Amino acid sequence: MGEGSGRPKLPPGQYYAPDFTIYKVMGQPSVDERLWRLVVKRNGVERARLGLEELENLGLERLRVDFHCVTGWSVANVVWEGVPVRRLVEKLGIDKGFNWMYVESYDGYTTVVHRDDALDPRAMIALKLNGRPLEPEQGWPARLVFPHLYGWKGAKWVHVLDFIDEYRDGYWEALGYHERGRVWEEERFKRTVV
Amino acid sequence: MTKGFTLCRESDPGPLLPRGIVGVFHHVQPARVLEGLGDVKKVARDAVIDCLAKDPGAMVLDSNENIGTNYMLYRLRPSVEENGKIRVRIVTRGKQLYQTLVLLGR
Repeated sequence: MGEGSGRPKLPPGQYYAPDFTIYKVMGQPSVDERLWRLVVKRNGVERARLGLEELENLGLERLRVDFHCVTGWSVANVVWEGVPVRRLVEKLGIDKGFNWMYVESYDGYTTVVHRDDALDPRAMIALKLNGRPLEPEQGWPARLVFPHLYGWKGAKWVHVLDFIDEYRDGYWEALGYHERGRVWEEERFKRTVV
Repeated sequence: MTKGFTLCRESDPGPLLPRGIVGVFHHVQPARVLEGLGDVKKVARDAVIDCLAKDPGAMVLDSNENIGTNYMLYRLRPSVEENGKIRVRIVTRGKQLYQTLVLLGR
């Protein structure tokens, strides 16, 4: 988003960095591929449990986009390959009446994504980065990618997607970061003034 | 006055309780201009008084960082620590107060 659309290439307040800065606020989990499962829930009730191969069989798409961190740095032209979240929702028959997607990772990290952002065509459960399987520090075997949201919404080592009706803060949202986190609207922090 | 309060329960700790955070107050205040660090510290102290009904005394700055377009994140704590840890996060945009959080630790 931004490229070729007449808008500036970089969202407000961002600068290009040569490479990712890796954050592991909860540490880096050790995940066994044979035991890894993506658990899909609807309001806390499990609806499906997918292994890596089952997820891949939903069909992979490729996306070349910039990555934007809320701390200000951006990385240009990152190529992700993975399963669109929208396709997962449709294939599993999850009704689209949910309002938020609550995400849990294997390291204990949580975040929350607005329905419109979760169903955005570019929203993806990424399995590859720049043509290669994710590195462990980048969230292997699967992480979320939302090119139009700040990177904290793109949870690494993703484990649970819970499609919920009632809003619930994730880790950074509880610490004051924005409920939506859209980069072009510069939604970095919640506003608590009237 | 508080707008929201995230309570980290032992039965549903989420990721905050393991990091020693038992509650987060999202403190609502009227919009105002903060002229400098002194004003920021006063906002922090007043927020603790309002949220926790205790006077933390003088607040000190742990760190601050510039983020994005004119956002500044301040991290503050009481100069004298008592039982239980109190931390305050204040965000300004330009000189305008934007966000006040009071974190209660264990």
